[in-house]
Amino acid sequence: MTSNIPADLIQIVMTTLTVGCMYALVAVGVALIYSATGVINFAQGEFVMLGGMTVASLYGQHDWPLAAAIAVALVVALIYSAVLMLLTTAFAARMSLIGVLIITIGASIATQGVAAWIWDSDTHRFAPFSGDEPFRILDATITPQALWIIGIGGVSIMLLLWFIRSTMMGKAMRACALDRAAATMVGIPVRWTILMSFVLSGMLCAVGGIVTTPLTTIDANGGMLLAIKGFSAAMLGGMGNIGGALLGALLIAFVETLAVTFSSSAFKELPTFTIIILVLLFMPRGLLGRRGETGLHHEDLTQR
Amino acid sequence: MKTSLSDNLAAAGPASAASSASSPFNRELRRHTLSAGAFLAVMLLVPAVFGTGYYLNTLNFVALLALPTLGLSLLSGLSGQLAISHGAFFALGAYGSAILSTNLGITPLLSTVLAQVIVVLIAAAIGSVVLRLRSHYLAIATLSFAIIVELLIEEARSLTGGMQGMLGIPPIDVGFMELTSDLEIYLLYWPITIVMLWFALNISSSGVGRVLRAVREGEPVLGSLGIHAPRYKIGIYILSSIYAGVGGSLYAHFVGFVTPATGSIMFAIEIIMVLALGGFDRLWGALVGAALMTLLNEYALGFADFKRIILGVGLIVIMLVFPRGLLPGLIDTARHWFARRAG
Repeated sequence: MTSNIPADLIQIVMTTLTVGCMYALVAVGVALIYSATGVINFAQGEFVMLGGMTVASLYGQHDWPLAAAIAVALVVALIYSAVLMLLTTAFAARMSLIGVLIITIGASIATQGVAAWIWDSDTHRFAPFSGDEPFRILDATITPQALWIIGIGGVSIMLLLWFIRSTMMGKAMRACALDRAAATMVGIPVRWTILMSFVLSGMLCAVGGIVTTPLTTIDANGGMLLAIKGFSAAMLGGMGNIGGALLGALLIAFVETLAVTFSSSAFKELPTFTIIILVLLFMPRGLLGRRGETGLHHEDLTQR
Repeated sequence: MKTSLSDNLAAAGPASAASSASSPFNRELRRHTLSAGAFLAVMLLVPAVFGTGYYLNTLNFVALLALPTLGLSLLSGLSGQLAISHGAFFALGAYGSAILSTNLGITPLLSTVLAQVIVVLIAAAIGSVVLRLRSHYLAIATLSFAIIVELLIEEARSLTGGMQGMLGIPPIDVGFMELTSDLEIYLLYWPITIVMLWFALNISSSGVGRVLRAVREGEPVLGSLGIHAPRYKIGIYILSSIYAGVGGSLYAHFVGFVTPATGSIMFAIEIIMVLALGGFDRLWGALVGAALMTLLNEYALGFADFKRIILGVGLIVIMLVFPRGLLPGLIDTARHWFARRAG
């Protein structure tokens, strides 16, 4: 490694932002579903995988136009999010949260299996949106795709925040998250609102998968680790808190970038998971979690 | 079967340790000893009646898969919590005993015991941290731990052989002979599994089991009764990890090699599947689930992608149709059906 400190700093900041954007999309997706239903969706990473793989196959291999491939990928994510919503909330209405957790684990590995069956288990990528040619700032090399990731990721999250804060539907989602029974009583269609949370969450992650695949590649098994990163980030920030999810994602990305820069990439996961366990130990509500929140419901695997 | 909170707590306190000879626990103990003893006798008669054959190899895998499942069943069936770390402890037991016996030349029986010491130390360290968490949080924290173990196994090449794994792990040596044939392994492993089942049954009906069921029903009440619930939870977590660790060590000395797949997330999910097949709160069900899973592995699921689809869809369907597990669900359904036919 050179001793060019400004260039290193730029590189670290850029990598943190790029990786952080991906994690943030997953983490916000996890937080959306969690606040709507109390469920942690293990299959969250499969949205990313399906988004990336669909575009890689249609645009990368079958030469479809990029826009059409992206549209199909978003439709796939839409259908998948509706299926997940049915499996975890509608069909499993009287089930314990851990039972639902097991259902999402099942959905995750079944999706991996189906994806490996439709495509294969190799890594896939497709051409970046605006060329492969990196440009340099003070000896730091930056790929154009990294800017696409940061741009599209940032805009998507901004749009989501605007939607939740300022539209009627978003307000209904927040009402459902606060108190489902009360939301029903004032006439909010709770089912549709929950479906909306799943769909938004799925779209967000599929967009993440589509923009990052040219840079990071994707394979049929790649979703689960991303999902784990996503809910680690969401927990780190404070479960169900979107701002916290963003902060957690950037922190995890920063730690990983440092680990890759200063030691071997093989051990980049270790500091991350160690930090998560430590945060859970000392700050169980996360960095931005509300103090008054008791958080966890009474749960039981063996009870109907 | 379902007892109320007050029943659960009635004998949960320290007083239960000094129970008299005719206490409910002693009656249960006698019942468990009889049923486990009868089952052991049947299992020992099997090779005498049917002779040796490939089926013994399959049965050995059933005994091995039953051990981590019994462990997870103790944790989830009693306290209602789900840990995804049992694959990791299985791998720690397997690699621990493999390294001790291959690199240091310790006899496999001793290395199996020493590996459990490692498992206990790690489970105590991890358990005292993660068992402050509940439900989802516990599942994710134990999953994080499982990923760390998997990565460490893959990266510590000088010790574990990396992705290639370890070959040439010596078979168990009982002093006068090495156990190499399926029959010899069978005659050692099935008694071990059944003794551990017997122990788990007794834990379940002891005061400890009642405290843990009370944790499931409502943990805060326990504190007001002077019972320190976290200690029991950490205790059962360590115990259930030992089940997984013993399974792993015995597995390594049976098949003679270990690879990182031994401790993969897929295996952890497979253990959850075995539990779902046999029922989340049925210790005997762990054996049935292990038998079903081994048969599936042996005859239906050679192709890995296919296996993932079956496991995933199977988990979803079982959870949706029979939330307590396939076996208890089928038993309940059959009972309802017969009750209706009887009028």
